[in-house]
Amino acid sequence: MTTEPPALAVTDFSTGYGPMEVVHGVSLEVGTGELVALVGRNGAGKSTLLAAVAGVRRGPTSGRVALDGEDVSGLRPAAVFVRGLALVPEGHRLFTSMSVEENLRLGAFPWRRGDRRRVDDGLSRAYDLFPDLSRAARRAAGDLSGGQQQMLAVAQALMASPNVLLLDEPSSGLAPAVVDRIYEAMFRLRDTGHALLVVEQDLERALRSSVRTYVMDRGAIAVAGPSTALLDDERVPAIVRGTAAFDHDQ
Amino acid sequence: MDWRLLVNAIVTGLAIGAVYGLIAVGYTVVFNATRVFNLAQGDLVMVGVLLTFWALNVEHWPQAVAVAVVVVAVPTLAFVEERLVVRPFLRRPGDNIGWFISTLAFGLVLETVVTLLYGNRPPVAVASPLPKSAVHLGPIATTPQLLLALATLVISTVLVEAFYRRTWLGQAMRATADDREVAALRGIEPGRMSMLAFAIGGLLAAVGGYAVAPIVYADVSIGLTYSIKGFIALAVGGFGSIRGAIVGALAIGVAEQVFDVYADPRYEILAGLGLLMVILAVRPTGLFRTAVAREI
Ligand SMILES: Nc1ncnc2c1ncn2[C@@H]1O[C@H](COP(=O)(O)OP(=O)(O)OP(=O)(O)O)[C@@H](O)[C@H]1O
Ligand SMILES: [Mg+2]
Repeated sequence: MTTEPPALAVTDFSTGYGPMEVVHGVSLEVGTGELVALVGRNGAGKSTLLAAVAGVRRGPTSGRVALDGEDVSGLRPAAVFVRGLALVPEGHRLFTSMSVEENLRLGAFPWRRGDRRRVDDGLSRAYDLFPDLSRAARRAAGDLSGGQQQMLAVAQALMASPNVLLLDEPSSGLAPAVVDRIYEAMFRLRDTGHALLVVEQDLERALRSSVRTYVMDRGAIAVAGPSTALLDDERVPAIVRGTAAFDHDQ
Repeated sequence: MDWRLLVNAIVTGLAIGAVYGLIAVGYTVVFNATRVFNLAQGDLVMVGVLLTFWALNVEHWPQAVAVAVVVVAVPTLAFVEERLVVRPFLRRPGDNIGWFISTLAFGLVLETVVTLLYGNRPPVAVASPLPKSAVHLGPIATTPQLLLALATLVISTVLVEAFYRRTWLGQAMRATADDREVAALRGIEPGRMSMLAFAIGGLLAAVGGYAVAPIVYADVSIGLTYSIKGFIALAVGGFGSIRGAIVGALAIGVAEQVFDVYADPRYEILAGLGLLMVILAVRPTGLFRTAVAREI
């Protein structure tokens, strides 16, 4: 009997900035239909890890990234995206001078030729997932509220229907009601067979919405396990909240 | 003062402004995809002018051949420039303005190479495919050559705008300008976009060089002057906006010609700078504010 390779497998992965390594030998897996959380203190290396997995590397990088068993380590971001992994970076970054619909269409840029169906399907899925966006289709992305921008950032990443979605603090700076809607959308994506890896600074929310949680500390995975088990593990809040002396604003 | 003199100065100014406008639009296309001002843009136009001169006045090739040579050679140079002196700086993360020195240096290299090949000849007029006779528009007399320069600017601009608004590649270029990293994360190769931007910039320089060759003199030194005037046009119009670039360029062309009529042509550059100071005092972002300008 053969076991299916996971949708995303990261093995012994290290990366950093210039000569400085900030992520040290991280291994993690996300399966199809799973929402997995990644938590850790400010500066632990979560964003650096996610970006490098998506192909954005700012320093020497080693280790392996595989999508459904296919090695994509060393590929450029555009190539990783085409193979089915989409990253939504921190801070709802968008093409701010362009309209909502233009932003969405550009999410399917590699499929622009001959595959209109894919673009149109993507648009209707996006508007179905976030009806707010369809009402704002012609507005400039830069003029949307923070919540709408985050919805647009997620919807844009979904245009190419990637199997694996990496979300870096999707709820950061948003009103609780908006956060709930973003998480509802993420649950729907999970239930329709996507693999999601989510960085979440709200520890409680992270543990309650994920099947498994990785706790990162100073560039390495310190604790990992089923989220229900980690809910009662006092090491987790100690690592994530840290001691006051080491706390720093990003 | 005869009012006809003023009207003719304005018409001539619009045509000269068209030359600056083609440079300013070239700047804008490259800037919008790369956040780099290609300070060799004026020198690319200069190469276009001198190649036109060489093909027509020296080799006596047919116009069509001259056009083909210029339209292939100048974008190729722009392409080489992107690879050699711009790409290394784009790859480096964070803000850096190394391109400032490197594009300027590339322009000076072009000037040096062209001087070596062309020698130090006195400036000469380039043969034109159009008749020399004046065109009369009511009381205004102008030449077909001046009208060709204006028409080239208008047509190039319409095409560039349509490219940005209606094509996938044009939109991808705008997206790259907004956020290079997110563009890459959505499958848009930023390297290809900057190559494309330089190729289009080169094409504008080529077409511009050919169209204006008969109204400017074939002389190496026009390159840097044009780079500077195109840049002043951008500052007047507002960085990043194509329409702004054109309005700024035409305004400077007219200001210079009017200045020539009422003052001393030797200090012509003061006209553009004076206009720039007045505009910036009233509207610090230039005439046309764009999303790009808002960010800066
Ligand atoms: N552009 C950069 N250049 C150099 N070092 C950086 C850069 N960005 C982040 N770092 C450093 O890398 C380390 C990891 O940062 P990273 O942003 O990945 O952490 P994080 O876990 O995402 O934190 P946060 O919760 O604040 O988002 C930190 O020590 C940080 O100072
Ligand atoms: Mg982060």
